[in-house]
Amino acid sequence: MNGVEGSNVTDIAFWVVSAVAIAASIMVVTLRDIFRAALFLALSFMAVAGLFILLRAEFLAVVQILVYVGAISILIVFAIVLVRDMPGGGKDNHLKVVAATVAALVGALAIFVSFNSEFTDLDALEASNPDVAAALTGTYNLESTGAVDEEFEDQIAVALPVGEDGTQTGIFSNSTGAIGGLFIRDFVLPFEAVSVLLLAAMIGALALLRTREEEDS
Amino acid sequence: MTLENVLLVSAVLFAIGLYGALAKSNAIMVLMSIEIMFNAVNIAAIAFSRFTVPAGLTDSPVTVTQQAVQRALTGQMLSVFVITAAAAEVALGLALVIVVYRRRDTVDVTDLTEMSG
Repeated sequence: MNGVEGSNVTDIAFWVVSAVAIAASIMVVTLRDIFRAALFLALSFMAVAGLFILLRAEFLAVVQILVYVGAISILIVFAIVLVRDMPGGGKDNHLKVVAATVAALVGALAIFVSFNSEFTDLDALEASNPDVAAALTGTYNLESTGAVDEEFEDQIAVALPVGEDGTQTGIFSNSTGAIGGLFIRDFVLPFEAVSVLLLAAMIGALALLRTREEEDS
Repeated sequence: MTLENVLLVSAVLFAIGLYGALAKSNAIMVLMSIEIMFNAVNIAAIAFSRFTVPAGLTDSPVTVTQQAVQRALTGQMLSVFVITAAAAEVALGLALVIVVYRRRDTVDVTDLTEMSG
């Protein structure tokens, strides 16, 4: 992976995947047929999953396919079939021109800000500090570098399995394990809060859709 | 593939989603456009996780590896929670759409003006 990263191949793959994502999203907001729009939405989700892989987020790419393509797209298709409002369903309201202006302004502002801000570059840090590069993308031996304290060594051993010779793979090479470790360590409170959110959403959806005989005629 | 290029794609996707959310009259189309905006935010968060480190990290050379390892995945964690919130949002949103369709026989948001006084 390190040999490919930064080469022309990733650049070409990035622009192809981005073009697919943007084109599919434009189709979603311009198509009249709402069912076809939902299918193009699934295509856009898959292209975004490809972007995640190029950005060293393999775990999130899989989650994106499972949750967005597998669950949300199917749910939207089900809703379209249930509602039966398909022909002409994707028509615009009278705010079309205002909406296009506002969206163009917000997009231009975001692009302006991102091209005029200074960020601390991770690649530069990796180039100047081989320890960091090894800990992020290569393999490294925590005990030999002496760059981490004992307590942190124990913590990270939970997330990243240590091989027989004492070496570990970097967190971007094994991001699934590292994310799992973060879930039960640094992000345990948001993790529990999100479980409550999902439970509340499930109960709320069931309560909304329950048909009451005395009300429905 | 630089940070600016990824943020450019993210901003374009966000603008497309914003246009759809504001200009569409079908409630399901509005929900789909909001999902495009969620995706754009996720791309930005993961791009920051991939390309940047927090400012001031390099000032403490003793623990710079440790801090880099601890903080490099923060953007990806944010995006995991965004995906979870998006899933909950779309489940509740589609339930609301179906309830509205049962009672009013339409999902056109421009027709739902009961609360405008």
